Amino acid sequence: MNQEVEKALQSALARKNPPDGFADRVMARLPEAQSSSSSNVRTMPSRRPAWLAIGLAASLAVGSFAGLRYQQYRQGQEASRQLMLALQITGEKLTLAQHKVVGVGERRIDQ
Amino acid sequence: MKKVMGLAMAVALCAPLGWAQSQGFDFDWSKLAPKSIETVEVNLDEPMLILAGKFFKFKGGNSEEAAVKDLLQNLKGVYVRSFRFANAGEYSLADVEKFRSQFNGGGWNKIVDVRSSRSGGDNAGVYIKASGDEIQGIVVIAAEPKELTVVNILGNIRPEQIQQLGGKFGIPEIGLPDEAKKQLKKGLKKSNDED
Repeated sequence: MNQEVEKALQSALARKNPPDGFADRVMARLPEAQSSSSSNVRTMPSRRPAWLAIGLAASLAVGSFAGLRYQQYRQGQEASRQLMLALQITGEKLTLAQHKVVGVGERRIDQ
Repeated sequence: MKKVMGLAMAVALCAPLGWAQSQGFDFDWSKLAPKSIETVEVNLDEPMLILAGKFFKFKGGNSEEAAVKDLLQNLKGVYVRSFRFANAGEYSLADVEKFRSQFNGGGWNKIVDVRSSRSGGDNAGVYIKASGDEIQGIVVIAAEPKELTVVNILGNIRPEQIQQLGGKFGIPEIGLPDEAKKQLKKGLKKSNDED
């Protein structure tokens, strides 16, 4: 039973050469079919879209990486600015405290 | 998108907590912000300080760079709250006193403590937490009539290091009073004795 099925499948799926002139007939009909309804014609995809997709993906990857780096750069710049501000404020307030201590000391000496 | 929004909200919520979580100081800053005409809030944790160090612009050569890098490598966090008000008396001195009382004991040493009971007088305080020879944090409080500033620096930093940066990066020249230096040495010695 299995052998029969196998034989049937083998004969059905066996490679067959096209009849003579098949390729010529197809090529002869191609321009006609394209001009009559171009939407129905399916051509083999060329290699260009594949390269386009790869290029696009690479650009996106480079763009994302550059975006991340830029974001990190902006964060670093902002953190640096904040640190500078914090140090300035700390310096100012330490100076204020210093002046207060000196002022209090001078007042005591005057008294 | 929702995840990004969630993450952004979590970061936004966690940033103000940094101050409280870092040392457990108790003060409600949110009530001062609406009254102030200018607010400065700096929240820099250790990773942000590392990042900030990479972007610091050094104009004064190697010695300046070395001074800043030396300072930054031991820092764990820098937090600043500064409020400027249009009129005097916009914040309660009692609240400031309550905040200052958190630095009585608990390993904190009073380096500078200026208190004025008269109206319009300035109040200032510099407190250092030390463990052995290592400083764990500095808190600077400056309560002026129209301005209230609190700086909390975590990590092993000495006021002299900030002093060294005076005149650079727009930081004013700082000369720590001799009395404060004596207090600092005394504080560290006391801390060593306690250990």
